[in-house]
Amino acid sequence: MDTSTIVPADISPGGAPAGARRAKRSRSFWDDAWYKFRHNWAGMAGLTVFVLLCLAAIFAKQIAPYDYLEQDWTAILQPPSAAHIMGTDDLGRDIFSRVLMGGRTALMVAMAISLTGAIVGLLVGAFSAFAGGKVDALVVWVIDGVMTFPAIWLAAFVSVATAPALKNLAGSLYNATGWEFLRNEVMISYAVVVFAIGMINWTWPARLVRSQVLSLREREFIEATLALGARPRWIIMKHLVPNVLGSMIVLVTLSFGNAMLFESSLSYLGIGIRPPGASWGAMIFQGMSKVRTHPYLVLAPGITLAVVVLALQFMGDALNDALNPKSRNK
Amino acid sequence: MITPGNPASGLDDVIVSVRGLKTYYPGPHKGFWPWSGRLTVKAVDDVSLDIRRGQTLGLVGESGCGKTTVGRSLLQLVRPTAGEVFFEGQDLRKLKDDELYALRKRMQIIFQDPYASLDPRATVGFTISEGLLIHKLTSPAELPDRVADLMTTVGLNPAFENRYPHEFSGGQRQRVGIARALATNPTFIVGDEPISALDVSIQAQIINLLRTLRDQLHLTMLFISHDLRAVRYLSDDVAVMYLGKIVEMAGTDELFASPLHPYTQALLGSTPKPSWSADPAEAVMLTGDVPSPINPPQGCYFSTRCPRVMARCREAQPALVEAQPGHKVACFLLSDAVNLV
Amino acid sequence: MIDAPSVKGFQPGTFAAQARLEAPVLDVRDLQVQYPTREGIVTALDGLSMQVKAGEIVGLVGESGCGKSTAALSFMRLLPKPGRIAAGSITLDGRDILKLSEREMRGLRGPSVAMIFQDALTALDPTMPVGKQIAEPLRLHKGLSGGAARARAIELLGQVGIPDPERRFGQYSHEFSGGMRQRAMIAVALSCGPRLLIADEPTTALDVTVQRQILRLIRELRDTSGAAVVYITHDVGVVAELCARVIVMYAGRAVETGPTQRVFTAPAHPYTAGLLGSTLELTGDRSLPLNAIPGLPPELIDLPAGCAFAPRCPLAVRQCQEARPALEAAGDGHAVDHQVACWLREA
Repeated sequence: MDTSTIVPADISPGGAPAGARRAKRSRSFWDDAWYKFRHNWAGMAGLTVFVLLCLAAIFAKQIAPYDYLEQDWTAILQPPSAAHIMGTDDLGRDIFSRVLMGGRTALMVAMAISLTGAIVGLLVGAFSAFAGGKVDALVVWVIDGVMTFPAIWLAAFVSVATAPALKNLAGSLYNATGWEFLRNEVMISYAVVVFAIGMINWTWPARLVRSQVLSLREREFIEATLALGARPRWIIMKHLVPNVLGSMIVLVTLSFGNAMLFESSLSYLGIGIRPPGASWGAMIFQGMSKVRTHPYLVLAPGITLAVVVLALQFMGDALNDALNPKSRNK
Repeated sequence: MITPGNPASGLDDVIVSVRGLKTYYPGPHKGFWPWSGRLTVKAVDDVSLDIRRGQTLGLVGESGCGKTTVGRSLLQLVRPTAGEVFFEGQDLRKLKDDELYALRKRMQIIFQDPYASLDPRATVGFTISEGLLIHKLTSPAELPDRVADLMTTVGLNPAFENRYPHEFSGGQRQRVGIARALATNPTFIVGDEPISALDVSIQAQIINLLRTLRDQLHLTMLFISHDLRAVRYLSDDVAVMYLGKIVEMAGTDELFASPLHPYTQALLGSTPKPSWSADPAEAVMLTGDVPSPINPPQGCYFSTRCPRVMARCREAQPALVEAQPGHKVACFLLSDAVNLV
Repeated sequence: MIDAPSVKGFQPGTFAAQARLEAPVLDVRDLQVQYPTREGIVTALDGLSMQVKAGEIVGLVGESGCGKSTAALSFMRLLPKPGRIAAGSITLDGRDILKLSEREMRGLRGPSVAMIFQDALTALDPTMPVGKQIAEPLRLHKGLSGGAARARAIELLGQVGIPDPERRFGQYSHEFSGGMRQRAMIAVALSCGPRLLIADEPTTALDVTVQRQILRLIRELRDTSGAAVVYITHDVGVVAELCARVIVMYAGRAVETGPTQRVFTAPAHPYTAGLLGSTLELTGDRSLPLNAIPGLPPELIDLPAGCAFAPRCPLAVRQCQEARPALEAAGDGHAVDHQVACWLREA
């Protein structure tokens, strides 16, 4: 078609086409979100803490003044000092080094849980929304059923119930492969924790994705794309995923903090990370018996945990304000 | 004027032809329980119409009359319950999915709501080029030029192709929607209330734009609106719908000069008129609201509100018959007169 | 027929004659409303002055963002936060409502000023029967007993043309159809017989055949109760039919005001002329392109230095870019009655 012959009668006078009025502030959706996030001090503080934690966890071995397992019988239950800035525990291990390694544990477990939760939730939620009918009803029942139980109770149950099975599995895998890490008790306890929390954690993203896809499907721009001749695959990749992404990022951030809290709770209860693996929850548990005389045993991991979880919460809320256009205008 | 042609006979002048179209939706449950049966909403109930190449048919009626569903059913965005929909001689209801996807580049739609119909996370450039990408009509090298071309065509600055919809006003978004619909060079466009969400001065701009485009690109259009005034500026023929049925259909000038159906007369009479005009409004005032399409009245659907209702109207449904050459109406007042002649 | 809800002892039809003699029910002087935003202070309404007498229907017409709804909410003192009235006065029945406490203002909403909205579904409380929403203010403001309030509410439902008002009294808003819901909302607004009725696009969401019924209802209510009516709409056609006087608004300012027939048949402001040219008609030549106004309304945050309409105005001269014209007599022999804010008013 020859469009050059068409001169629309309604271009603004002076040749400035309609739209020029906003020329001075062109921001993409993501630019705009970043602008909003940047101007949220709580979110930025959260991000800073989180980045520091990540760096500390990655370089834990380099930063830590001592090996986290190294026992020094000449310096047990030392209060904070220049040599041990957070003191030492009843085996003479440096608490600062153990907090750093506990951070690594928490980060690894939380990452594994949030990412698998997000992926499983995305698949289940999207599948359920698209399948509709009885399949959808069944999935919703399962999600609601899982959510009915107190999460920590369920995680503890799964952890206890599946630990032997997972240990057996690891044992037979070791027999087949000969890989040494499969016999590592600490590694297996990691897997148990991830599995236990993961069993519960997927329900949140699944529910979110399902409701988002259901409402997006009714939106007119989806129909518009269909009218262009797009196949379902195109609509999912080009429209549904980008639109769900914002909320997913928020949810993953919030669930990240949750997962850390969960791991510590399970470890505190003694069904999480096995000693000598470092976990904030386990450290708090071990310190509780001496909390009156040596409060720093509990305070060091406890405050770290609280600060990190709070930081993630702040970050999640800020991301929600920035990425979720509905809550934006409030 | 509408020629009731036989679409199968190769009369290629008629490019859109609908015969006995019925589109029903599942309505609310009959009882309290989720498993109790559902009522049926007869959104479109036995509609037939033809649109000839290069012509615009205006489809007008009040909310809930099924005009939007007719447009959606034509494009198979809603699957009709019964009837035939021919586009360029092909029965769309018999096509396989792949054939339908491919054919959609030849028929397009402009939506009412310029906010809901654009993906908030996609740049307007992507939205406009999407049809070209889906059907692989333009090489990647030529794509930017083509998008710029389209944006100029609808009166948008091509420099803004990387902007997001929230940066534009309603009228500008509607231009984006028009550019998207034009991208694949369609022959047929459904305009589903494309101006009713816009401000008055912007409405006039968009009507002018649609007229220019239609004439320059020889588009065939179905223009859906609740506003007789808007239909008048864009249509060659007008069909008036009430509760899922066409009650009157004629050439635009003919319909506005001598409306035959009492409903059309009421619609025209209800449009506001200046208090100082020679024939002030209030000539015909309907009482009540449009009945629910779930439970339409017995007989003629308009009989509950018709100022000229007769006993017969409550018993039987009048058929759409040609009362005068090229002027069809579904009303016993007129079909009786025709039969007497 | 319809009784006056509160003003007793008046005969229907006498108000039009009295209107000219009485002091205005609503007297607004130089009203300025501002909203602080991230990008600076937005002046949503700038120097609006208007008077409405009893029995008079005055139209506020303009496109979205012109300030007409902001004006309506200011008259109710219901501006959403962080909006604030920066300057000017609003006198309702002789009382300056900007000087009243929030508590005193609450006492005026209902008996003195009431509002009907575009969307009755959100304006009515979904959890309370419609009849109760009408009866409640009667008990509150008029001190009616439960039984008397109920009887009066049923009477009002009948007055606004709702069939079977006894049965409808106990129903919820979702059980009403669109037109009936709008009528019910009007009944709620009228319950205490307000001296001033503000109608903010009350028929925009309705079908034309229902719009016709509501317009007639508003006219009848004006005739019988003698209320002053401010009718806010974007629809020039409705104003031409309903309103004796009109105020045309653009970018927060009144650009032209006067008797509706005068303003619409001989517009003095190029924007009014453009608005009329853009309006779709049922008659006349339909083959011509519409006389549309080019471009878009300006952003309120970024108004041009001179006349806000100058960038779109086909007649703009240098002076228009530099200074804002004030609202002055149009100079067409109608003296103070017909005013326009345009540098070219003499030409």
